[in-house]
Amino acid sequence: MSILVGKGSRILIQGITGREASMILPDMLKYGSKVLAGVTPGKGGQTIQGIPVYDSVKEALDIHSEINTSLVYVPPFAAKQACMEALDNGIHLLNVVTERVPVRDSWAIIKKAKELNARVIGPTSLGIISPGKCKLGPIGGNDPSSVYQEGSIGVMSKSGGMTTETSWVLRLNDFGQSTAVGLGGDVLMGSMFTDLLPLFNEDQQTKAIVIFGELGGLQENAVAEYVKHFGQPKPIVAFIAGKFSEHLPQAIFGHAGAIIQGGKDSPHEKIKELETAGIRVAKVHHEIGEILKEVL
Amino acid sequence: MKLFEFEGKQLFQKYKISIPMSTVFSKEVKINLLEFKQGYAVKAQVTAGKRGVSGGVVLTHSKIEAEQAVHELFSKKIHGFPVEHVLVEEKQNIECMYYFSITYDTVEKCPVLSFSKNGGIDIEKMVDLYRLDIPIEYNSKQVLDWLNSIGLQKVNLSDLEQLICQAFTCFLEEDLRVLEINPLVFSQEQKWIACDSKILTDDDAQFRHKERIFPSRNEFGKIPTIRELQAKEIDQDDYRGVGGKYTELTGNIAMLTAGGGASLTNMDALLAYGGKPANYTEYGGNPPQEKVYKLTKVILSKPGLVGCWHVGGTANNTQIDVTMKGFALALEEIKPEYPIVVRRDGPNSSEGFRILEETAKKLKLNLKWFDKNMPMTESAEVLMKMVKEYQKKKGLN
Repeated sequence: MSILVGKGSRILIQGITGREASMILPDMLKYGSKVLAGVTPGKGGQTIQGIPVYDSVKEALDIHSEINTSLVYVPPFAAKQACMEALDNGIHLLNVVTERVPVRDSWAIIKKAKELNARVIGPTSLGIISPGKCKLGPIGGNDPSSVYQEGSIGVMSKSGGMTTETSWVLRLNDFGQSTAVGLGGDVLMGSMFTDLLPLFNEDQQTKAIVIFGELGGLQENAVAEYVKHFGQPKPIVAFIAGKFSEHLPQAIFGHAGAIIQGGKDSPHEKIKELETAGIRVAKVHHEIGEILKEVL
Repeated sequence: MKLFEFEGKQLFQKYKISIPMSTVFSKEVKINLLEFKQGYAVKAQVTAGKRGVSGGVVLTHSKIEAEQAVHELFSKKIHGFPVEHVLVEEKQNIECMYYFSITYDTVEKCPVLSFSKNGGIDIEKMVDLYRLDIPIEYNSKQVLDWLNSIGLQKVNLSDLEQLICQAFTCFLEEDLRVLEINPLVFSQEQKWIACDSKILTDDDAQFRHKERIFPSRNEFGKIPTIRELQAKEIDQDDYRGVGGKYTELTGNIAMLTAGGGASLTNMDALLAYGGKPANYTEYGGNPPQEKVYKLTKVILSKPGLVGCWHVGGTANNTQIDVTMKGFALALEEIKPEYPIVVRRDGPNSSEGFRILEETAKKLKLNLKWFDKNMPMTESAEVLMKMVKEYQKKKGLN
């Protein structure tokens, strides 16, 4: 089946006339993703690569009522407004590619989504791909199938580039992906690992889950908590980047969260907590493939 | 951006959070102290923590001693930071010291208030941190109930709640990531006073605060090296791609790493295979040839290198022929003897590898390159084997 996006995804692109959105649009269309409409205020009535553009989400939905997914590709200052508009109009899956969204705005978006029982992936997401079914956002570039092939591994990553590199390591070990998700590594993530774990656990296509985490934030620690609390029916293999920073003087790579979180957000501590919960953590990134072979 | 204490307190004043009477002095300004009846707290303005233990704070009763302290602090370095400003405040008659902060809880995905009855010490040492998430919006009654549950004796809780409410407004309105008051003092005069401020602003929200300009600063407590300064210039006057991030470290393997997450991952891999990175860098966003050329020159100009690793994932946009050309041009000038390993893939990679091969042949370099069929982090192992042979041959260790 895969999760989040698939054959049934009917996509709206907010900010479709922007430079970057119009660059990735042909890649999505070529892959067979069903993009029905775009929105850019003031540009309603145009078409871009055959896709109609509307002034508002409501106008787009009036004509294309099947839309169930929005790819948000607007500038940072407009991200909150765009997400609110999509949520208010009943779209239940938002994938926010926009980078550098203020944390306060992310909080507002997350609150609204929670209230309406909708799901937000991002900000700073590379996109979502369910190989062979749907590609949402820039993930995989113009040649997704060179890395992403239909398979049994669910991939979640805080780093955009490493979503693809992690999926590539799987491919080198003859594993494909059910769905690969670029979660974005912002302070507040619309969806974190533990928000999507239940989906992967229920998904019949997914046999194991790979997590790419980083220093900072406690989202990886939450995975350990989750597994300890609810148990975990499918194997998880994790990698946590940034261990080298702990060998340096604090002053060089000291970061904001650490002030408050008392060191729990260090790679070392995250790895310890994950391993205590019974999750295998790769020491070096490419070992993910070998560990997967062992656990499956 | 991390704010200096006095800048944070200016924000506090804007939101009517009480702070001590004070004057801030810059290095060039003549020191002219006010009369403070309760004595003087003289504080070096640096963004590093643990300022007290490293002599950055001087308490005194006499005005003359306070003046002397100001001069002394200007000549000091606190955790490597030169002191550019000194804040002189009136000492407070302390009844109790507390800790208070607001930040975002990354798992609950909302702001969180933290409070401790043991203010004035390091957060890491605090054993009694009480937390209250603000999932939807600030609610005075809820905060009062929370404060009541903490069991604070003989202090004015409704005044405290009012201060917290103002601090919360400040946190949101000013787009902060961290607002910390430590110590938050309850004075013998029964007043709540913010005696310190630690503020981290959200740079991504700067577009909402165009009027709020804080001068640029060194936030890492380290005087930049010549190479770090040279690298910084790379991105000036050229917005295409990023090539100027460079942090010098103590090792001997030159790192030319592409991409944020990939650079972290590859630094870890080098350490895992026994290598010591000479630097940290991240380049990306399809930089032009000149930027990679300049960055390579900066990285390879560090003395004592025994290897070079040019590594990144499979790029989406970055043109591999362009970046390899920049890299090769720098190699032509430097002609390193030590081993070089390149692992990269992406647009026009075959042309990129052709350029590399040609350069390696011409200069007789000890260079191996790999495309994506070699896992990124595995190429660290290849490099470290070559480095060991090189060191053996050269009698280095």
